[in-house]
Amino acid sequence: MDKACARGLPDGSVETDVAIIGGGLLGCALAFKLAKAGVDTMLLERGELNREASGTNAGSLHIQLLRPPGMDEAWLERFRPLVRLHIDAAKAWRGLESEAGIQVGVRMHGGLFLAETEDELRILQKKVAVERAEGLDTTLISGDEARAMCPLLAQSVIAADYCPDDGLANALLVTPALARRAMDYGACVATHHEVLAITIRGVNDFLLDTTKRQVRAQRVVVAAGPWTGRVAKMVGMDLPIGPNVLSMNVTEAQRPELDLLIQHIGRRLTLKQTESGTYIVGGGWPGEYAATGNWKGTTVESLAGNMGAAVAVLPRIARLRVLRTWAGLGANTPDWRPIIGEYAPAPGFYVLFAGLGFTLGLTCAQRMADLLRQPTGAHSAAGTAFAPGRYIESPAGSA
Amino acid sequence: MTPDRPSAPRVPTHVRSTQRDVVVIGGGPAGMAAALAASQCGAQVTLVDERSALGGQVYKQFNPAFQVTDETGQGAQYRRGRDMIAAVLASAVEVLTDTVVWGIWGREVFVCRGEEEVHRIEALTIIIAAGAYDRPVPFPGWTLPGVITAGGGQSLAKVFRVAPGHRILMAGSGPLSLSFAAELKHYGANVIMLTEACRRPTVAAIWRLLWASPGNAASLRDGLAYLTALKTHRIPVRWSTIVSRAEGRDRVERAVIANVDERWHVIPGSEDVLDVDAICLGYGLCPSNELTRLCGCAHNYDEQHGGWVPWRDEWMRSSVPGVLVAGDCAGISGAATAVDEGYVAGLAAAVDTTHLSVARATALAERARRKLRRQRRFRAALDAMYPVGTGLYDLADESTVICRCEEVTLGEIRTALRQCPPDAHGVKAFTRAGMGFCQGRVCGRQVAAEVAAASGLPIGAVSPSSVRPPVKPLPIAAVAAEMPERRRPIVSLEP
Repeated sequence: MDKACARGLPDGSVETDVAIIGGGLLGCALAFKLAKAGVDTMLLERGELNREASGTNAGSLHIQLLRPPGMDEAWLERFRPLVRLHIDAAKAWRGLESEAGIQVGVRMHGGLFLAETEDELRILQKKVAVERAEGLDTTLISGDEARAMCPLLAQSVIAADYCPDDGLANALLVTPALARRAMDYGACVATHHEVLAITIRGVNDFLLDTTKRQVRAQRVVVAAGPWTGRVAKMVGMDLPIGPNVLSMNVTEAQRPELDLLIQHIGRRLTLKQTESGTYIVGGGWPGEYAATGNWKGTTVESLAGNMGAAVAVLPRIARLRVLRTWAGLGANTPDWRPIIGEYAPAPGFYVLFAGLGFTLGLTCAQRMADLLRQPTGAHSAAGTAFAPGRYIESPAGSA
Repeated sequence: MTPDRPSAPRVPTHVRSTQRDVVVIGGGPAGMAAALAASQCGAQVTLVDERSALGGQVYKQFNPAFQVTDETGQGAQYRRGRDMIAAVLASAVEVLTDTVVWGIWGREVFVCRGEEEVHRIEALTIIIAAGAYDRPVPFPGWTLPGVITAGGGQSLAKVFRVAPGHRILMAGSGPLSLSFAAELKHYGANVIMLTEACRRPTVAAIWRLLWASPGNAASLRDGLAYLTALKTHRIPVRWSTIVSRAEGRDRVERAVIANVDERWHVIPGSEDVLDVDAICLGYGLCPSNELTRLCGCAHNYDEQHGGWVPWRDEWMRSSVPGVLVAGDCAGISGAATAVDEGYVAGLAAAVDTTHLSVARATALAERARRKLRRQRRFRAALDAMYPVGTGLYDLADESTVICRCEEVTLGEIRTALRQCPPDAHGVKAFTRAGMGFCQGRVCGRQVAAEVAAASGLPIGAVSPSSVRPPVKPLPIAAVAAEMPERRRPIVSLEP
């Protein structure tokens, strides 16, 4: 997919209006949206498309709010500004297959966030209250109501937060399909182009050194997931993005018997049955990482614990076998919010980072596409909740 | 490339742990020889095998329901196996049968016993002797009932004394398929023909074999015995011939055979049809390399030895410290080689666990090493006689199912390759080929051949898709546990 499609210059370099760095879901979705709108776009990916978080995550569409990290008290207020984004994400995913003309296994049949104890129920009640106050369609239901929706659930389930928009998509297919559509609309998708250095030549004038050729771009969007911080550093920007490793598991296939996304407020668990009949069991149990070779591995501890959580609420799972485990890199910001915006000291340089990248990827890319439609500099100092300025100790940016 | 991997997993408290000097994985000739050698030097050894009895494939014994009354009539291999199994059982080696190794982290071997319990064995040294499996060769109709692997046919005959059909075509290449045919016949099965994809050996090739035969008399004798058996039983052998198609409604009824050129490409118009009710396919073996790949051992591609084979030093040590490899899983070389490699690996493990001095090990290994050198010479001459042809990868048509677990056809794989990244992972992601029960053991090679063809590379330049635990399906009930949560640590991306 090294199409020499961008405009070639006599010195062997190429030029483009927007250069996107990173061939994951955000980068490919943005390339698709820009190209469709007629913007001259070149996507640079250091390896193959979709090989990191976008392709190794479990494919859950978490429309209702996620489980609190560390279960501390501040989590709900931190997440409150995200609800709007989750509502948009539901719309984006529902419309994706017809908008882009692709088939990527989007199924949104709803999901349950389970509680088994009174403490968990109290947290769930707060979660539902925040979600509903911010306009997200969720409902607190009883254990029996949950079992009526999903007879496989254990008797220990006493309540659930039901969201009709939760679902899943095939993480292996979404990003490549969007990249293909982007190319159909004229975007240049250049794999094996690792960006090594970025020179700011002026406002809206960047020179990117890659492992293949030099790229001149008027604007640059970095959408490199866990590596976003590393690329941003090339223009002197410090971003507090913390990479971590998550492990996932897949079972042997069964006949269709579960169409809901199952999560748990007190246990690390996401569980759903895929189109092919397998169960994907995840939920954020840690994996291991070696930077040499970019190697990710799973652990016995996470496999056992993740399966323990699954068996507790879906006892039937115990009869199946695990076929494979895998791990992928995720990353997040300290405030668990996306970064969508321009870097004020380098007008024309944008950051696109979702944190909860799969679920929020489409809608974050849409916001970036909207931003790019406006003149450079107009938003650099904007005090939105997602602007990168909130991490930069300068008068220009504050959240 | 060997990535720098973290080790020492945290383990659920319900998992029983033991510590052993040496864990040997696989109870075939290589594994048994390794376990015996290490144990005799004083190392504490555990030998693990997924089957309910030791012996592996080549030393596979009768089902216990059969009483063997005529031991002399059962062939030398049966007796060698029986004696070795008896020696292991009489030794200090701890034998765990019905035990599947599903993961290795560092030098910690995780097993599942009897589908129920997960155990951890912390080993100082691991010897992988996982054996081999039949080389999968997809062609139209290969998924019909009645088309089985030679190994499968051999197991039916050896363990249960059941022939796979009434009119059996034995198709394949190399001495193994010859031996299977003779063996099947020995059990009273009606083998109507043996097709051999290679050309009839030239006089020069036979001379080379004889030249390499000193010290390999037993192998040569076995081969001659097989040939004689075929002659005695009037089983016709057709050289330069391959099964290009199997036909039938609910099971195989006909085999289409065709002449092939040197590289095993079918010569159009040379087809013949045979009425059969079983086809046994014996195109040689592929190393079971899941565990060596999981451990991160360096591998090289060698078609003649079955594909990706781990690199080893003269002590059977792999590129990963503490991991040794012996027998067919390190490249197909047969039972005799497996025994000697296992012995050397066992000595090396004894050295590595300080039960034996290097000097003593060198002295003890000398004879086995000499035999190994001879066997390697013989093997090379045999390989020259039976070169594996790339035509094997050209038999399937677009509608042939390649990934049997997920029912992915060749056409679907080729369509995917027009869009996906040109590698095994790309095909897997787009088609699900390799995602099923066998995790790509059956389809992996054809997929690699297609990737190679699409990208203009030799098949050996196409990396297989990554191996992840569990390498064999793991019952969830055996591993699930209530575990305390840990926060996910922030990792550094800088090497």
